[in-house]
Amino acid sequence: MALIPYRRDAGWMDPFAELETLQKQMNQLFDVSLARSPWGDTTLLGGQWAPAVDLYDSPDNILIKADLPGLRKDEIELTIHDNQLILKGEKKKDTRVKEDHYFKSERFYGSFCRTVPLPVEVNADKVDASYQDGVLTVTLPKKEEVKPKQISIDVK
Amino acid sequence: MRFFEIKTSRCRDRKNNEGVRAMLQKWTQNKEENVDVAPMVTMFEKDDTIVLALEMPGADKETLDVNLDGNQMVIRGRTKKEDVGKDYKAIHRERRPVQYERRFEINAPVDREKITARYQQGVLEVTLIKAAAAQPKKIAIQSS
Repeated sequence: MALIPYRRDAGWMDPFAELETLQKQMNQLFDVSLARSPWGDTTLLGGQWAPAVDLYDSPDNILIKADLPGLRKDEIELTIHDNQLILKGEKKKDTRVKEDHYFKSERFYGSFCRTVPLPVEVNADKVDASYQDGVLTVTLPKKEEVKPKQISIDVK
Repeated sequence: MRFFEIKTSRCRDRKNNEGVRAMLQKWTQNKEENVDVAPMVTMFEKDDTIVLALEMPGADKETLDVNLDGNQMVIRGRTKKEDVGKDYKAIHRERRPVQYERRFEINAPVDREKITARYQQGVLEVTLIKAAAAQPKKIAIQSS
């Protein structure tokens, strides 16, 4: 796996994130050659694909949703390590088809990896994951000690 | 030259002139409104069939629609409303409510009665069967 420099990814909620990225890339334009681009994950020369991820928080759980269309359950690998959720897998080409029988192929095939830092410590033994309609849902229960607790105050 | 021709473009015919300003407004103001997406497609040929496989993760099966009018095929669908329960607060979001739409121009003799579509694992597979007249036929050679 290539190391990819950190890129602020505000997701779709920040429409100006793309502009910022563009500006950064313009500034670096003459510093690099196309073959070895520091933003190797962009689409110019094709590159790595990673699933889009949503992260939700509740008092008891962390919920993660990821778009992973066209995979089989056994092709997705979930690991929790160092308070990070690592989502790995390989999208294989359709075995029914020979290479020369493709008209057009835009879909991504190959291996992917996405690391999601978790905001709090979770109980790795009780993680629940399900895959439906191309969407992976992972529920990670928080550790007891990090759950918010209400402390009642005795008035004397 | 291919005998079968199926055309499609990545950009959408309609709504393209909507403008960046309107798009930004849509994104910043109403976050739950569906955004138009042209799903990625893989087209391949196998024996007497042509398969179009479109990536439409999280689509609501009720909204999936495959329509062939003349030689124009339109495939539509929208994602289910994200419902994670009121206990959950979003910390980070990249996935968004999506309205999928993709058009194809099919200039191929296909059997219109036998088109099938199947949605599984977030991929919609539309299978077109070549019309009998277009299938290869072995011709016997007569000798006198």
